[in-house]
Amino acid sequence: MMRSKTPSPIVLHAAATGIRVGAVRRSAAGLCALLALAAIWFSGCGPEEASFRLNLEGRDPAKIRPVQNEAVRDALQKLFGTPDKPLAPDDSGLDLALLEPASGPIGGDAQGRQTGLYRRYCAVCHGTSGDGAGPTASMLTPYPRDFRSGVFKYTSTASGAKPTRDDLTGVLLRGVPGTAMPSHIQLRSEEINALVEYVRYLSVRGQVETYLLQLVVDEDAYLPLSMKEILEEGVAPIAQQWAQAPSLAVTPPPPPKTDTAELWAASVARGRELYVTKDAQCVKCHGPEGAGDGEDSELYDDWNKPKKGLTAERTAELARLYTLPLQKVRPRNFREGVFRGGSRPEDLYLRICVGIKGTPMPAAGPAPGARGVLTPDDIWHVVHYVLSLSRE
Amino acid sequence: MSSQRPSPIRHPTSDIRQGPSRWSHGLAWALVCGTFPLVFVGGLVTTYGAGMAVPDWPSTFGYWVYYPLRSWIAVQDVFLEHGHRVLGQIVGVLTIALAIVLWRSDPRRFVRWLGLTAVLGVVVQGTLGGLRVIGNDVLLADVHGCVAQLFFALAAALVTLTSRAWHAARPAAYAETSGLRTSPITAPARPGGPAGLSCRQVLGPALKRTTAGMAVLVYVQVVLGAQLRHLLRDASPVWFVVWVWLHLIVAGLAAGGAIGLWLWIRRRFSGMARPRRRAALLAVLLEVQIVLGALTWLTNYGWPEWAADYIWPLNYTVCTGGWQQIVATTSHVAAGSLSLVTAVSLALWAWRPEDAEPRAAPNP
Ligand code: HEC
Ligand code: HEC
Ligand code: HEM
Ligand code: HEM
Repeated sequence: MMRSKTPSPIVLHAAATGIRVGAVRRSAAGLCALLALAAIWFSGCGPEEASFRLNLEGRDPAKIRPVQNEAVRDALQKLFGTPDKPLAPDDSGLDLALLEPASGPIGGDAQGRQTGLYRRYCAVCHGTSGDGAGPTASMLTPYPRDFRSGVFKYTSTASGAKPTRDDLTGVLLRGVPGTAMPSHIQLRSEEINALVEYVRYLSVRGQVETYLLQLVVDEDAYLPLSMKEILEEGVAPIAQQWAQAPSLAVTPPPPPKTDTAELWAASVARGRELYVTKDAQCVKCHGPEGAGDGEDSELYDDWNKPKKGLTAERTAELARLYTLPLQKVRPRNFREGVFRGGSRPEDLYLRICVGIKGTPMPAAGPAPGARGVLTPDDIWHVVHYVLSLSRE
Repeated sequence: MSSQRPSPIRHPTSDIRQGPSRWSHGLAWALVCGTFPLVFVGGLVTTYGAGMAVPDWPSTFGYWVYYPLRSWIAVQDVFLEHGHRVLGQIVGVLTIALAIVLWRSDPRRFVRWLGLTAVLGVVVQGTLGGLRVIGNDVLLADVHGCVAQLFFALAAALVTLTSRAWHAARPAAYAETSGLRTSPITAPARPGGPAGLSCRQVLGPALKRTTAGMAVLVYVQVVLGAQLRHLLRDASPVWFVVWVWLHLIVAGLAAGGAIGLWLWIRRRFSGMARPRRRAALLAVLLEVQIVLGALTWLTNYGWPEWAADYIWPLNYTVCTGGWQQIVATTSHVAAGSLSLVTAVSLALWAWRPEDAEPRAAPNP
């Protein structure tokens, strides 16, 4: 190892480290080869086309015949395109031009205009297909929303109705406090509009997908499917639901006067009375003092309810058919003062009035054709009571 | 340098103490000073998700050598991504210069080869970055992030290996001046007499193994972190759970291990100022990393529901691209690089040859 006649200390030094020069050279060559291979390997792959995953939640894939699978995929692709190139049936109410920046692969231009917003900002949680099962989903409580059922929690529209564009915009700007859903206040308003439209697109597409799967798998429809039938019986009614949403929106009326301490205290006291009444049922879930500890503790939202069997064994069996494990939903603890749909009094008014869709939290206010358990003034009193619990 | 008192023993070839060339040490420092911002800005590119802000490569929006300054700074994403490329070019030039100087002037063959390895590294790294853009490929971004940390560690190692201290502070000097702490193994046979075996002779191999193991562990942790940052589209949600748990477990092992290592070195190798100080720094960095990691989680995924029950309810909303998210994530990534460099430096000093021992002493 020491080849020079009068070894310099540094050579000795190298020798003494025990690092053998030959070994270094061999491993360097090995590393070169490895890295070169890696580069060739990866460059060969290139980006594969993004595709939507078929919604097989709760279904046993083995029980679906390949032709049925293909029929649904085909029809969906004809109607809605692919994540890289979305389409929309003519009278679906979706605006393709508006959603364009949100679709496709992530990219940008020299002016800072971005494309692929959904994949850049949302897909890690909500998944490319909007199935709420993106790569991070299983670590989050609650799970990210599965858009495909077209059900949204924090809306201003009557029970059972779709959200308005403003409702979705509100969620995107505000985020959902106390959950992983971020605020996107840093994005430009055009970008938010595009994302909202894309969420609507994924929802409408997801609802049509569910319709098709029912038709083909459950009812064993005659194949191939007729496009006309799909458009008339599948797409049109769904588009109709979304189109109706704005007309079903509730605007909170002005609250009763509470500008003095006495009036406020009276309103809170009245709210408390209403809160504990049998009709309102709030106590059953939220507990006598609003600490979220009511007797009903086994609550599930609409995305998790189907995963729950009557027995523990059945539940374990069902788990195989779903991407994410069963997860409970917890009634809010009002003392924490964290309100996911927004903490302004008007926000809480809407939550209590129209309920939280897709969850056990019922609508307590009047709805078209129903008086409801609480009048608008009652709701305001309850709002004041709820707010007072975290302001103590 | 402050720890070294002048050695009472005159080294017969003390002129070589300056190391192979002042240039190589200066250049190695320049390389590290260029690479840290490069890694930092790269981290920002990832954190902001700006990796595809410039869709072409090696050109930038069709410009080959010079992208007009005004367009460059006009758009934040482009500013970051193109800035990262420019820094990458500067670092490339510095690496080549360092390799040339090392090749021509450093007598240690393995150091010369390390210089060449660095050139290879920078070329591979730049190519990976480019292919990531051309292919819009997250997996490549992941590999690019992991190789970057290795490159940074290599650059830092070259600073150590070319430093004067590495050549000058012979362990003979500190065996002489600071004295090994008395312990059963090192206790002199009679009071005031020469110590029997030095602690280093007995525990040296263990020190080498543990410090090297620590460096590997920290790198494993960096790679696990990279898996959390570069989530493959449509990967099964199971993977994230695996990566998070592994990242947490290795965090515990590394942070706990670093404290243990530091205490051990302090006790057994108190005379070795450099390893001791590096071990202390590593312990501090890794403890801070735990806090920064928790903040990174909070600002990316929110306050967990169980934390509201067991710790306290925090009314917090995650904000994509908000300053808290950017600061927490960027500091966590940057402190991760610094931990790795510290661990590598600690291992190097532990592996440094002891020429106080007869076999390497050039004394005639
Ligand atoms: C870090 C994970 C994460 C990211 C990123 C994310 N979300 Fe969410 N999102 C969630 C979670 C979790 C929920 C469920 C909140 C709940 O149920 O209270 C949610 C809920 C939603 C809802 C439903 C709100 C409602 O009223 O039901 C919409 C709409 C939504 N997200 C859209 C988006 C869009 C658009 C983006 C991208 C711009 C995005 N999200 C990014 C985690 C995320
Ligand atoms: C069947 C159970 C149930 C009943 C009855 C019920 N809630 Fe809820 N409530 C819930 C659940 C579950 C949630 C949480 C939903 C979620 O996080 O997805 C909730 C959430 C809330 C919220 C939080 C809204 C937000 O933005 O965070 C308020 C306020 C609320 N309920 C008020 C009431 C009031 C007032 C009543 C009585 C009129 C009531 N709830 C009745 C189950 C119930
Ligand atoms: C030698 C030089 C380089 C080094 C040390 C380096 C280092 C880094 C680092 C540390 C990151 C962050 C990775 C992470 O946070 O996990 C990064 C990201 C990135 N780098 Fe480099 N880089 C170099 C050269 C280049 C070049 C020449 C390009 C050319 C296009 C490039 C393109 C990118 C891109 C696009 C990202 C973002 C990846 C993502 O989307 O996550 N890099 N780089
Ligand atoms: C010893 C401790 C730790 C070290 C050395 C460390 C190191 C790192 C590094 C280097 C990265 C970035 C990887 C890259 O870009 O290549 C990272 C990412 C990350 N780490 Fe850690 N980490 C530690 C502990 C923790 C802990 C305790 C948590 C707590 C939850 C955590 C959460 C995260 C998260 C969430 C990311 C991803 C950031 C993102 O999404 O951009 N880390 N870690």
